[in-house]
Amino acid sequence: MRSRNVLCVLVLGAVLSFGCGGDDKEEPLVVLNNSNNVNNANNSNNANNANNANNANNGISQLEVLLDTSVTTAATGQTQNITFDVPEGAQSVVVNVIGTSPNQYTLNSWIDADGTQLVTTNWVRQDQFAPQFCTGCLQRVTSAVGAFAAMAPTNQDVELVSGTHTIQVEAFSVAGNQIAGVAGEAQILVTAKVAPERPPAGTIDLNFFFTGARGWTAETAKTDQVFQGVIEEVRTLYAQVGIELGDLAYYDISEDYQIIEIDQTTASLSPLFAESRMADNDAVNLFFVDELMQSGPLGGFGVVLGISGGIPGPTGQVGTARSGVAIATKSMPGVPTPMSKVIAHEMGHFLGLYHTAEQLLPIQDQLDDTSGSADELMNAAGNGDRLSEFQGVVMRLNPWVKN
Amino acid sequence: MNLKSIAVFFVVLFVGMGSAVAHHHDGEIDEVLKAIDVVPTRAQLDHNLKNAQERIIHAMNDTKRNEYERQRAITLLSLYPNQKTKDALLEGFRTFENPQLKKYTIYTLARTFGEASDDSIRQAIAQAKNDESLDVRKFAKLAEKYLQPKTTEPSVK
Ligand SMILES: [Zn+2]
Repeated sequence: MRSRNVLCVLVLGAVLSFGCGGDDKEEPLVVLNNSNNVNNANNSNNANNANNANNANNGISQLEVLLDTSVTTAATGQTQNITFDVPEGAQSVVVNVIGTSPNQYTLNSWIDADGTQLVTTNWVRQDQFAPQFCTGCLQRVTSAVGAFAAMAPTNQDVELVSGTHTIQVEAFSVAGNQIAGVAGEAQILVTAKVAPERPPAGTIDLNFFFTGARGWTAETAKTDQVFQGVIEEVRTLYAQVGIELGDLAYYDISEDYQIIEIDQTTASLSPLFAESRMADNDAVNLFFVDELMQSGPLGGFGVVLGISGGIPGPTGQVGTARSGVAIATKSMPGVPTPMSKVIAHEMGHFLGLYHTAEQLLPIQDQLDDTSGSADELMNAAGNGDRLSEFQGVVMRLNPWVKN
Repeated sequence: MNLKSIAVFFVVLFVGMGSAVAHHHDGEIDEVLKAIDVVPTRAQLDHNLKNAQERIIHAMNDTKRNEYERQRAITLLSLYPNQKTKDALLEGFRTFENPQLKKYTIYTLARTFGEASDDSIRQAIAQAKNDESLDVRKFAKLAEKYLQPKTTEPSVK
């Protein structure tokens, strides 16, 4: 098997390293039942109203919970078939799997109501770039330690059909080149974004977490010209795909998180993301640290400027080991990519975008309207500006974006 | 065959041509050094870049490169836990004046060689703990824990 030797990516390198400590095991899962998106009956809550007030397309989409249950993986690592009914008018569906670190999770299969395989059965044992990417899947998915999310569609070739969909969840561990199934429990949360059409616009709320890196705190960042300038630039980048920044909330966390070293024995990234539990609103969490050192999937490490909790990250929940995006703020002469683009790029991953072309690997994203060129925001160097039309579609279909 | 495939083909072709031409500024590893959220594997580097380790060492010492790229080069040497890496990093520790580069040399040495670090690495870390730069001192402390027997304790609670 050529397997993951060949491949190792980014963010997913991050993911591989989540499994390091027992510290992952106790992280709480918070399902935001009080957000308007998850529970329409509760649409009087404050966060909700604030979101809607900022929303250019107020209320055209709703989030429906299709399944919220615990499942058991057998010794093979796989669950039995799990079904959920995708309603008429569903524009996107997200399957969240919250498990236990250091196990890795993915979908072993996803078959839609017409019998189309969105996720190829047994891809983890068959795809050339497994377990990081299912490159042979109609709907590309990844795998991740501790918590995993898959969204459909994230490319123009997937047509989301209503009716009964069938998935299998897979839990596994990797030793050497071998993938071994893991028996255990996991929580499944499946949601659908329902709307009369694909939302042409949307609003995303953000929680900012400050470690004191670069002198920024919840108090000072509100008026810091550099920080506010960075956020304005993110606003401009996302405006090109009709996404506005909505509510911005500011929090302080321990300065112990200023330097994030990710390796097999010291997993400070998971506890960092888990700090998001202090913010109980329905917003994407951005963590501002000094420096990030990311482990490679097969050893070694490297300095990076940003890390996303997944492609996409878990939706509808905070406080998990993957609930957020971490950004290195240490100002460096000649840093290739300005912080605003790093934020916009990592949030792009968190909302479901892949690199338009992977580094050193013959892998492109699945979109017809991206080229892998340097002017694209989702290039591996993240130094471009441009988001394509379909990238915008994917981002607006993500539940974190309210429409 | 769409445009993207063609672009990827040429990238692969060029990369495949390897270091047939010696550049003062090695453009072929730019992509690796400028990446914002990717850590490659050694196999990927060796497969795509001829003499990858030497070229990374060259990039680390290339004063025309920016600080981030040089930091990337220093830390990516962790993929090559061998004598050449050790010598290059110790030399970097002795010669780099920029604390942002210096701190990564000792950190990378410790994280790469760990318990197997020899006296020269241990001495460099001890020296870094008294460096005039707070950043270097801070990273020397972080580096020290890699010299200890492996623990499952998280670094941050
Ligand atoms: Zn990226």
